[in-house]
Amino acid sequence: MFFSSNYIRPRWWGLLLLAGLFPLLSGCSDESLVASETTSDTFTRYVALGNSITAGFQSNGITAATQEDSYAVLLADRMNTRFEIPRLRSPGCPPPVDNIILSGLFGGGSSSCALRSSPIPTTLNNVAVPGAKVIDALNNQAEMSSPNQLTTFILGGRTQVEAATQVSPTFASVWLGNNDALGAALTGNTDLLTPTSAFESQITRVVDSLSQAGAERGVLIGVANPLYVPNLSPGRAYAAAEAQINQFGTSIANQSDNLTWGGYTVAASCSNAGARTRIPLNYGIGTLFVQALQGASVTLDCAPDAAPDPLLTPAEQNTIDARVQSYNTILSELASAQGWAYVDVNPALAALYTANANDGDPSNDLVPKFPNPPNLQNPAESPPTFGQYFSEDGVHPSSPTHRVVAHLVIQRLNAQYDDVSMEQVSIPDEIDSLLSSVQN
Amino acid sequence: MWCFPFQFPNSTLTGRAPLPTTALVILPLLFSLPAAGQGFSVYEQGTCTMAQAGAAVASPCGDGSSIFFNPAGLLETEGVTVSGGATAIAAQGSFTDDYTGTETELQNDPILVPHLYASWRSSPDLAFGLGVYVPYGLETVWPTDWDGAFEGYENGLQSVYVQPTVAYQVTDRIRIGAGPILGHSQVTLNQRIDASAQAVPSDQVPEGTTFGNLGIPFHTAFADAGLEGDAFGFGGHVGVMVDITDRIRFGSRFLSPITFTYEGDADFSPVPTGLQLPANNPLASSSVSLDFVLESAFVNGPLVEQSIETRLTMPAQLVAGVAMDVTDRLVLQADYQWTGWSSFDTIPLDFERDALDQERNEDYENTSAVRVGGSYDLTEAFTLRGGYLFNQAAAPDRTVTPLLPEADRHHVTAGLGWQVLDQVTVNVSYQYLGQNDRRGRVRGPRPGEEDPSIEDLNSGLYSFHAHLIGTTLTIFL
Repeated sequence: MFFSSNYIRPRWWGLLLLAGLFPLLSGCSDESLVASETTSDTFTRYVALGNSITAGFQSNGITAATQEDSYAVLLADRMNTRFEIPRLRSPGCPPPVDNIILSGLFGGGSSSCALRSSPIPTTLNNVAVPGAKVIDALNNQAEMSSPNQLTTFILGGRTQVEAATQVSPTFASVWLGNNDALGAALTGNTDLLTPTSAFESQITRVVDSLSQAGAERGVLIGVANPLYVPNLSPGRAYAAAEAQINQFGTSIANQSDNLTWGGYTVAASCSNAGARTRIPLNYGIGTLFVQALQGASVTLDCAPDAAPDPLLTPAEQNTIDARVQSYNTILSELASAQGWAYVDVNPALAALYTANANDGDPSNDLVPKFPNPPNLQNPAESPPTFGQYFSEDGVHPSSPTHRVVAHLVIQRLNAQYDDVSMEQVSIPDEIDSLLSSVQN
Repeated sequence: MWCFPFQFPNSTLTGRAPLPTTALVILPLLFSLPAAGQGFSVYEQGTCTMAQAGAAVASPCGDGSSIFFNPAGLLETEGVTVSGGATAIAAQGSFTDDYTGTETELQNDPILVPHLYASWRSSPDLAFGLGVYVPYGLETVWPTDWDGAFEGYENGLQSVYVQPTVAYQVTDRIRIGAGPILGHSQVTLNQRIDASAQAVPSDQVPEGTTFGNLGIPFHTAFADAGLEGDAFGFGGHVGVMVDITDRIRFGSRFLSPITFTYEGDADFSPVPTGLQLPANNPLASSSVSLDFVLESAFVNGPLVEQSIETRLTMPAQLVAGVAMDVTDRLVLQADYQWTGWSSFDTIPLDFERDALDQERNEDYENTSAVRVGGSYDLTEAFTLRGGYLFNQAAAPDRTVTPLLPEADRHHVTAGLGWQVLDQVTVNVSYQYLGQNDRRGRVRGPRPGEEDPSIEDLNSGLYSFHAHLIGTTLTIFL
């Protein structure tokens, strides 16, 4: 018998000693994961898809400072979640302009594109690309896609959806579709509107892809109606500013031997009862104004049948308005079907656009209907061309308006999800009261 | 000009090439193995000793393995002793990313690590032996499609030491042993290369502009790099054993550091990125494939097959311990081990194309290990063994990488020896290696990232544990 009890019994203490050592193996000084402490598990990984607004484009340009002011960054901050942006080097890509009129007339703006900053982020959460239509989020190579330098600078050969899904998002915000309508508004060509059926199939694919990648929750932001941007000034505003335009033109011509002011006439068609034609800045204070500076006597004619292409006639406005409503119906229904939140920014934009607009005093409009002329003697003292709520290009929201968008989204998310309680973003009192009147 | 911040792995080593002159002896040892000791050291050099947690410097097992555990211990053998066996090692590990929560598992297959010793005690005062052992070795295999693959996804190092040994009884109580070492080491590395970190080969962008500055995402694999080299080195190993009393013995050994200057080849092959830069991109007005832009790197750029040299120092080991015959049947031992890992401070990479040259900081730290073990003769034929050891990690917080994601380790061991015949002994043993979870990284500093903090670099948690089962057959002739 090999195992004699005499050999074994008295020596159990040795085995007990060894057994006592086993707890040490569990690791007495383990380190741990450093998980983000978001305000809700919903926001563990947040991605933002969109176009120029979401990317942080302002004043015809984008730079790190404007990127940081994007509503998406504000949302991420309130979520307390990691949010990497495709930060651009100074002065930007392209650099934002100080004054849109001066840069348009005298140059000073730049189309050059600074590079991405180093080090590049290890992940990318804001994948929005200026100029992107919905189709661009899915395919940068499609016939209807509109890639630009920033498409590569931000996505590096991926689509927005590809870049977003690589983060395995738990939450996504999608504000796409603005460029599916904006191009038509700024060129007066409604053929550029994305067909409703294409819009619906494309945005559905975007949302489905995000959901399949793990984004069980999200927010769809409705297409902003381009008729609320001050870049498209009413003909009436030009008529009211006719003398101011000529005075401004004369002042510029007097500063240069090469310029002769030929005169700028605003036809009665712009101010007749029922006149609604809108004039893009590039035409009214661009093409036409430059012709006048070169000695030609020019006339702004707003008659729908005589309006040149860039002008937006009432019929074209109606078409665009109806198309945007169609887009937003699709977005609202899609969000509802997915259990996502939906935010329509247009009531707020409309309130902002019309605030103080009917008191006969254009100087107190929160959104100027006619661009504020720059200070030629001291350009640095020039007033904001389109007020404080739109950037210099008159299309893209300014930083304060990004706060308004973030405010609206947070308000909606807190209402949509019982377990979400985000701290609000503060907004100016005048906007707060405007929003209250809209929501009441 | 291409600037190629190629990243060589920190610290993993393994080998597969045969040694011409000692192939017969070494061939069984040329398997890849994960490190089961501290750093990338391997201490499982014999089943008998493994069963008592490697505590053996004052009283090695009489199976010839004392060539490694204490050269002076050869005098514990009788006549001619030949031992052969193997240790099966099943290692499991993973990395869990902080941000995504994704867990990536180590893909090492279970392996067998053979061992073989021969000794001859020519007289009561003199013994000779030849040992072939692998004191440093490691292999780590990770998936190719995770972030850590840019640090290394299939990497190995193996250092095989051939040590002729002589032991001599100096006095009744003092024995010494020593032997020169011929070492052969082979290192292999496979890793992905990140396109975003490469300089753009164009005069139209400022010098130093990387593809990442053009928007190419971080960790975009565009190439696979394979490096392989080997080297010979020379060192020595000495040991002493002192009988303090009839029941208490002291032992110590010193294994010298050995520096290997590796010469080998670097091969590069393209990995499709699948990225198509759309029209109006910074490089061309029309759409262009990123792979097309990068392919020149493999033709007339830096990524052509070329020679490479590097240098690593296998650290010194100093071990001291005591053994006590508690009873006629029970022997307890305790060892302290110091390993000079600080010699593993940098990895200089000298490519044939100088533009690729770099020096990689590892900054390993000297480590301590404590081993306690014992043996108990259950019967004349059976001996029960057990032990526990703790060892510190050599890698500092900054260089815990996929190549060697180590942490402080605790091990428990148990084993049984069976004297089958007068001339035959069989040993079996089991060892559990438990490693503390440790935070680590899957990337190095990015271009433009100056001196990143450890908190910035370490982005997840490494876990690791292993089961080891050994068996040895010893024949006394």
